[in-house]
Amino acid sequence: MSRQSVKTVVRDNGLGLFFALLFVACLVAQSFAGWHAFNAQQAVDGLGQLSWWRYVVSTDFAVDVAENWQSEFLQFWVYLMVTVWLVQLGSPESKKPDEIGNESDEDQQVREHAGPESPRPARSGGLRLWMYSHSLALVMGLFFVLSWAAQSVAGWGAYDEERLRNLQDPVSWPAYLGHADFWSRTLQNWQSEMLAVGTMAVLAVFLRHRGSSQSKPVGASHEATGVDS
Amino acid sequence: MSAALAGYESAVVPHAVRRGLAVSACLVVLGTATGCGSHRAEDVQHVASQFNDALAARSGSDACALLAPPTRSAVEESEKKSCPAAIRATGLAPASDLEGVRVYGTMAQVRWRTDVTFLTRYDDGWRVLAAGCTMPPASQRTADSYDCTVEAG
Repeated sequence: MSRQSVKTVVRDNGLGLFFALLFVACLVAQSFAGWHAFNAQQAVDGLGQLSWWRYVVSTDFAVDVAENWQSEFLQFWVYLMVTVWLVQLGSPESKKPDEIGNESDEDQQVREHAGPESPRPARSGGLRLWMYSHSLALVMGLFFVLSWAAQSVAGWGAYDEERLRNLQDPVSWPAYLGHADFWSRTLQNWQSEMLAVGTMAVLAVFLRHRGSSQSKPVGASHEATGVDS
Repeated sequence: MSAALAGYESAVVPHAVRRGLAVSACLVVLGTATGCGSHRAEDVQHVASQFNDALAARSGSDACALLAPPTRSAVEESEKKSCPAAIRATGLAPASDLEGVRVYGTMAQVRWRTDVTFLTRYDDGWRVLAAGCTMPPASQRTADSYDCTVEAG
């Protein structure tokens, strides 16, 4: 691959590459910060220290990671689902009121309205078309369910480790699902995601960021809905 | 993650079931397989049994060698004696008839017919954090934690 073509690939996939690198960097940094915090607490209690690797494969690290993942995937899943039916006048994130709903085949460029560049499933029908028509939400929803399940298992382990430290009996996984620790971890992440996405949807009506695909053009009216830069 | 399911290892659960649970846990939590397997429960049980043997032999020094540092300090402080003498002075009796072992990360619980032992993991192995633990009657407790003959301060 020539230097020019590498540059082109990087430029054309800049968003994905940028966030992938940032994700890995943040995850590694989180592991070190969490490791130091865990060992500091262990030292205060006179208990044993963990190696970095032992911490990375521990329930304590896993639950801290999974509880954030599930809420991020939930946020995008919810946003995908509700933006079919709910609008925010003036928001670049929103459809216009007359577009509420699943829209026509012509609007969605499916079946006989599919073009030569349309993905193959868009030209099909039945279950295949339905699956492809909802594939983004299905995958986001699946990621949410898996990461929430992972949070529940890891949180259960971390919670029972803490209970043993306090000379208490461990609880079962079903009991943990009804426990305040599970719901506190879950809801503290859900509320922050809902705040962030709601804030973006509303503030983007009145505020701009020149050049961003997530903003309306600086000179667009506050009433202009679904207009990206 | 691995410690969560794999940590549930009970001596009263059939071996095949335990193995199935541990294998399932390892598969479910990809990438966190370290620590999966029954060897951790066996290590815990071994240390708890050694501690019992030391108590049965009235070897305070052997029992103290298996105590976690904060527990050792607490025993010495409460009895105002060196650890071997202090642990004998507590009257802690050896537990009997193993009922089950549970391991969660750096902590473990060994249930005996007579009482419960809590252990914690250090670099050089498992150590006894609390022993001779019994649950007080509901009317006498504010939390669901055990009262132990020896425990960290």
